[in-house]
Amino acid sequence: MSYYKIFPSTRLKGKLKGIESLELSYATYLLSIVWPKNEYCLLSTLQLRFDNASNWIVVDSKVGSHLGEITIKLGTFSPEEQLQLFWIINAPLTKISALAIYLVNLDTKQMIKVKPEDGVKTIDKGKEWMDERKDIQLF
Amino acid sequence: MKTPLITLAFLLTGLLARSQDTLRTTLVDSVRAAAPRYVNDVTANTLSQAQLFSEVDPTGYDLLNANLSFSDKDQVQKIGFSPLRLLNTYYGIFSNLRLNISHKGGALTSGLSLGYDNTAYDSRRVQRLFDEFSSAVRQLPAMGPRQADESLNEYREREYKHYKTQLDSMAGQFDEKRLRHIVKISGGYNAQFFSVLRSKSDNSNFDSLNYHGFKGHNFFISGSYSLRNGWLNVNGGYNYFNKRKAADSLQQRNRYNGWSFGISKRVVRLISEEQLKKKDFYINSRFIPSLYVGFAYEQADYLGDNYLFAEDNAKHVRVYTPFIDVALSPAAQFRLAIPIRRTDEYVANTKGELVGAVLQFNYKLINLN
Repeated sequence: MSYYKIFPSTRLKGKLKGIESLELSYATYLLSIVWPKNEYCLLSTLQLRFDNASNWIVVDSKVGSHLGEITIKLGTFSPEEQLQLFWIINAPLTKISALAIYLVNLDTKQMIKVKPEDGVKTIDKGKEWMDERKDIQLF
Repeated sequence: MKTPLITLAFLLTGLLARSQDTLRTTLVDSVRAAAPRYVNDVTANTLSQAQLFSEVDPTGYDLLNANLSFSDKDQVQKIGFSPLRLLNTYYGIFSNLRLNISHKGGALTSGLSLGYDNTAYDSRRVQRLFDEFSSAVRQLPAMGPRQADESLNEYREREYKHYKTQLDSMAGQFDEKRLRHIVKISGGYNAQFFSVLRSKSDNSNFDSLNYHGFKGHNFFISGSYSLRNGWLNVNGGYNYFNKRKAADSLQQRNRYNGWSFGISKRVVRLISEEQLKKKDFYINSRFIPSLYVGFAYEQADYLGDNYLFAEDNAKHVRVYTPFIDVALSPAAQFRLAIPIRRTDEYVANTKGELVGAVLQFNYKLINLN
């Protein structure tokens, strides 16, 4: 499930009382996981929550690939918000020798590295990487 | 008016595509630079497949390995190297380009070969299995959302543990399927040289025994099939030789055909299955420390007319070799063999028989797993 802010769109603006106050800019964000081709990566779960929310939202679950990239659409929301991300990435079939996670603003083509902060992550065959990143300031 | 608008649309589309390409390149480059080349490591059959043609056989598919063979008649030392495995890009069978250097009976053999391995992660067959796994894994129950104040460890216990058990079971099935039928094919060329590469003098009779430096050409093709990760192994090969018997000035190159066939079976697992599942080398490569028994048959036929040029003065050489392979770890394996050599010799049409013993070691010097 992706998370969307749809009220800033022109068509919906003004349809509900008080919606005019939502004059936020917004952008579409993607989460990209990249690793070498022909190593198998399984994103077992990806969850997000906004800093002002109490619940985690499951964005996607169980996407596997050997092609070197999994990109998930997180949703469309305001660059002024702060995100938390939580994920489990598995290497069930092959070792993953180098992996990195990026957050991409699809509208501006800007991106930030979510994790690891330095270098790349290695996941041995049969192991997983369960981790989170707090306080991601959108851009 | 329409034309500039269409042009603008094309330009914007182009810019967007280029921007996405740049983004993709940046992402991919970030991992490519750090990623070593992954090497598949099915190691059931890494010992040399033949005695008679062992110097031209490119043993193994690892990055670098060494093979030593000792017997009363010959000592063979070999090194095999697959340099393209160091690259990050897969070039089909060219990724298995292998350089072979060996020394046997005073002759040096160097060559190169190409190989195909249907269990390699790059192969189309395994890519299909990857896709099947991706479809199957979607059938696993999805993990629920993390609770507001739940720690990673709590989530692991609550949601992930059961999921992981099922995932491991499915991954085991994937490897079982991948290694049920293992097919490897190699083909290549070797050039053989005598120990003295060049001798020259004003005196035409000088050192006529080392007149030739080049011994001959060899082309080969060989293949192997393993059932259920090495439970049963079969291999065979054909060798074309056009070579000299010796280096002296009277010798001419002549044709030989060489055939080989071998079969081996795993008879004892050296580690129990429960213990094996805890070993890193088993998780990584499904290598099973085992004892194999087998039998190899090889035949070399001289096709020339003149007996003076026949190696060992033999029209036909046949070698029957019962052997035991001891595969202790992916890095260290050895073979004990008793080759029985039968020859049809030119001298008064006599037949000869020689029974010897061979000890062969294989060392995987560098592996990228």
